[in-house]
Amino acid sequence: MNHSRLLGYLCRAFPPAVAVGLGMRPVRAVAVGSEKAGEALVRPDLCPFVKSVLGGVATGAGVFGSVDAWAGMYTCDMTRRLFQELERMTGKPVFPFQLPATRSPESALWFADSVGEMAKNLVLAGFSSGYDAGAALAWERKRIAGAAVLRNAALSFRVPPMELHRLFLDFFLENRFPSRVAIGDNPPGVRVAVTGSVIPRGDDTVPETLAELGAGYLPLGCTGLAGLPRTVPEDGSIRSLALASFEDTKCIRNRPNADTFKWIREQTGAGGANGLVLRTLSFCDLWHTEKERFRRDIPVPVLVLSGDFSPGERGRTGVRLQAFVETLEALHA
Amino acid sequence: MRDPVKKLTAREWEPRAREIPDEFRNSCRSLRSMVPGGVEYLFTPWEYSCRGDLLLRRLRFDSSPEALRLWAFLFSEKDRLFLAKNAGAKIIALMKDLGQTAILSYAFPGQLSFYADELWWAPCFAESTHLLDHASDLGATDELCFVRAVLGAMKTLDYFPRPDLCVAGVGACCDDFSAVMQLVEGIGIPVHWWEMTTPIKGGSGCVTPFGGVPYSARDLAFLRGQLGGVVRALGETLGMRCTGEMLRGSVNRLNRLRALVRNLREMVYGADYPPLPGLEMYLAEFIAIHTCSEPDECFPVLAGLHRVAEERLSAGLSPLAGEKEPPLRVYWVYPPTDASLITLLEDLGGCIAGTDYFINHAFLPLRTATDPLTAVAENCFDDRLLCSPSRRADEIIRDVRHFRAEGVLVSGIFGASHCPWDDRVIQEKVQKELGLPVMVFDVPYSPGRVSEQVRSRMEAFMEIVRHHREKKR
Repeated sequence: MNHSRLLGYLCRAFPPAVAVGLGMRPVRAVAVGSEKAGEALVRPDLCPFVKSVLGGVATGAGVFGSVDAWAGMYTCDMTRRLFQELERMTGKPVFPFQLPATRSPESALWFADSVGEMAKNLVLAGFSSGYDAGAALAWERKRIAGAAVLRNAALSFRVPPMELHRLFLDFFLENRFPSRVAIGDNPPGVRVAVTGSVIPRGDDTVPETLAELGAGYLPLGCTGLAGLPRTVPEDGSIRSLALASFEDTKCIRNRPNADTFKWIREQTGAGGANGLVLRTLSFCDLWHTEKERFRRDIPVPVLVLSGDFSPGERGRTGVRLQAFVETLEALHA
Repeated sequence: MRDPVKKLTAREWEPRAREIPDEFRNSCRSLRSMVPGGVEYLFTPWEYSCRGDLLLRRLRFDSSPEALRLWAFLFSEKDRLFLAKNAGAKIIALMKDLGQTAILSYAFPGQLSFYADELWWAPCFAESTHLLDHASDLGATDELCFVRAVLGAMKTLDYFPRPDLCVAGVGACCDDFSAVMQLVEGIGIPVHWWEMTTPIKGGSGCVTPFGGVPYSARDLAFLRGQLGGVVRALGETLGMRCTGEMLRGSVNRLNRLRALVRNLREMVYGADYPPLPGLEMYLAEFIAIHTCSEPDECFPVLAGLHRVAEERLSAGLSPLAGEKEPPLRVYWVYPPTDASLITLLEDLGGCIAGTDYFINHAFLPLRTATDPLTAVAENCFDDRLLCSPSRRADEIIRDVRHFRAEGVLVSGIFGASHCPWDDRVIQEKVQKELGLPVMVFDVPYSPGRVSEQVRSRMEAFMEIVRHHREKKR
């Protein structure tokens, strides 16, 4: 299998091994830098990540330019509308289906069948000559093994923040699954878990600031621990891969999302974090609206940050994170 | 009481209301099936404004008793919900789908259902941030659209009693309301979640029978199952099993209601001199989605309006007939948060000639030659907010042609997750395909008066539409 065609996707709930089974290379296009190009096509008061994807696909910038077809999974409303319009606006083929917000067994099966339908359409459109379950399963096993290594490294708090950030993004964008990660000797005194909206490549503000402050970093969001696969699929069929991926999705969009809160609480505790940063993107209602619930339900201090990848954000975030870390240091001195 | 045909302020309605015959006043009663003799509701806009809805003092109303009945019917919904609860009825809060789950809930007797979404306009009508402040305390701050008022209302229970069940449609829905619904559950109100499904063209070649929306048979089967889950949840809350006959009865009743509203829209929006003002139509349209929590009384209310419109059309009368030439015809997209903007449009020499207030699917018939859940699922796919922005724009273009509109006004909603996508697509497509003036602006919260910026923009827009008409001569 030469994996010559690239299948782009955005959300962690998509099972990338399905692309491998179809003979394509999956690429989770979580990168920023094309927001201005996106703003030329839509109103500016839109999620900066979605704007960046739109702008990137329209101009062929970076990872977006290499994608041959999109697994157009409808998730939040802004992403749904992105994939409803992307093909018309850019000419790039989109194969749409919906990720359910509800978490019932019926929703899980419907999702799995939807992924199967998408795969069938990719074959019909000539992007694939068929599905190889063995290849998909072998790849997924490697991915799960790499995820376990990365998870343990992250929970140790002994990997420098920028290095950890790079490892996670390599995992998602480049499909680089580590067999080992170099871990330092002593965990830092202040250990900060970070959850919220996607933290894409090119958006280093939070890990970089934590590194400068000498604090530890535990990314819990969908480009962190929540993005890693955990459930081993029964086999390499599309249905099994999709069901496992659906099961692993701990997103704030889930309805109800009590299970997501429970998972974030558990991970924060497992890593021994002293504080939690809820970092949301502008116009990301799903995360930002939960801020009071986080403050109430998470047993460590919570800092809410809102960002838009702008140059001004770096300064604002730096000041607020510094104050947060200093306060945590004082609390634990 | 038939003359004059004009628009009146709330104060001007006061002396006129005293002339209304007792027979008409006595016929205006709701909750007949729950409270012996029913409950009279024909109060005037001024009286309702004294209870807190201050915006009513800035509006102008049609002069017919039937229009007064419509306003009173709508503003008495709050009383109905509290009285029904007091009479032992269960209260169901429907959220997000705008028209479909009401068909399911009204299959059950002994309950009242209302769309909590409609609290969206409460802060503007009350000219008070009271509900928004409560929502903010719980995390729903001002990045979200006004729909966050629902959370404030669920907390304060000022507008309705505590619901026995909330039915929440999620999945293919706006992010802000999805977030609000999650917080509603967080304050301890029972919620049944169901998946709203984006229609995606499938290989089976299925299209909805009345909206013509392509969908896949597999998605329809799933959605039908989701609606079945809603029926079961309602049955558990209400302590009864819903039969196919009950559902068919509800489909038939809602079909009659939808036909009334559909015909009214055709009559009014199709006329050069509309027989009813835009505000009354605004209210009438929304009754199609939920009966205004009164599935019996909504029929005489709408039938009365229908009759008035017919009589005026045949007599050549219109409340907007003051000018030498017919009013400028404007198609309106999104329900305006500030209802006084519709009055402003008419004051500027315009009239409403077609609308897309999110609820156009609720004017389509429900198929009766299939099982009720399939009919409702098909109608879900017709929801323009579930379809792509491009498809919505195409539907708007079709409507604009049908109603011969001369301009399109898009009153966006700041914070709504769909506006940044839809507004631009609608504007570009309408301008490209029809060459008509399009104005897009967000409506800010502006208690006590119309935002000066909005007023200026609407004045400029109406001048352009007028110029456009003159140029075409």
